[in-house]
Amino acid sequence: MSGTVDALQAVLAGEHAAVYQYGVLGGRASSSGLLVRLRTAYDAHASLRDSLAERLRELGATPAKPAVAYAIGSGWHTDAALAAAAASLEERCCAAYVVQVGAVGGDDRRLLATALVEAAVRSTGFGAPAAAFPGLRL
Amino acid sequence: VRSRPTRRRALGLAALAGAAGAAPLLSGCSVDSSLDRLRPTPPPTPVAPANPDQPLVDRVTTSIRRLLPTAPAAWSALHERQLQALGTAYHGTLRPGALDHAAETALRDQLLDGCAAAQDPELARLLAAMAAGVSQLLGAA
Repeated sequence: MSGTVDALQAVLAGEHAAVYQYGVLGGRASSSGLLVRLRTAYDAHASLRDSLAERLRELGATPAKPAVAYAIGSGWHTDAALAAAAASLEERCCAAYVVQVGAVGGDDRRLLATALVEAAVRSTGFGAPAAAFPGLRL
Repeated sequence: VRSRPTRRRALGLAALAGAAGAAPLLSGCSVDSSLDRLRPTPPPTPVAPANPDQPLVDRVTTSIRRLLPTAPAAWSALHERQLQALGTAYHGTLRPGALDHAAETALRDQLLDGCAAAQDPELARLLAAMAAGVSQLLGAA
């Protein structure tokens, strides 16, 4: 059980960072199309964050709290740069999910696998190249 | 038509070569069979435990092999890499056609189900990543 809790806590910590960073990215976007996509991604990560926190409470654990602030990129001034940052963020999320997919089982594994699929699709939507095995290095 | 040597073919050739080379030795052994009776019987070779994920891997590779020959080029390339990651390969003829969106979606769902069911954590990771790769191409199609 502690392996499951540790895995979910690690993903939750990443979701806190993703939600924060999408808030910053969304605040800097100028085109409505990009803003909609950033908002959709923000909502997805906030939803996963809440699901993970609820699941951790079910397991008797205290969900990890967000940090006060997170590092942001220095070149986030154009929509192209914002989209690239979002693509990179989703790729990092894919890597985090795929690590933890193997550390949990049952519905928790399915939750993380689904999150991986959705993050992979968002990453290409923001301009990342498609990969045969998103999140994995083969 | 692709004609790269397959692992199965290589193993088959190796078995044939071994059988041909063993024939004279077998006839030689029969000359002094009385010595053979004095030697202790070797212990049986231990049988490797069955891989509990093998049926799952077989089902997934069957689905990929069914889609690969007629898939568009980008998709057949993806499926070839998937088969390689699962330890096999496709050497048949490719006849690229239109994307079978429903079948690829079904494969994505099968990979997610397989991920959830896999006993081996590494296989679970691989199947999840494969499902994500299929979803990326579906999203771009």
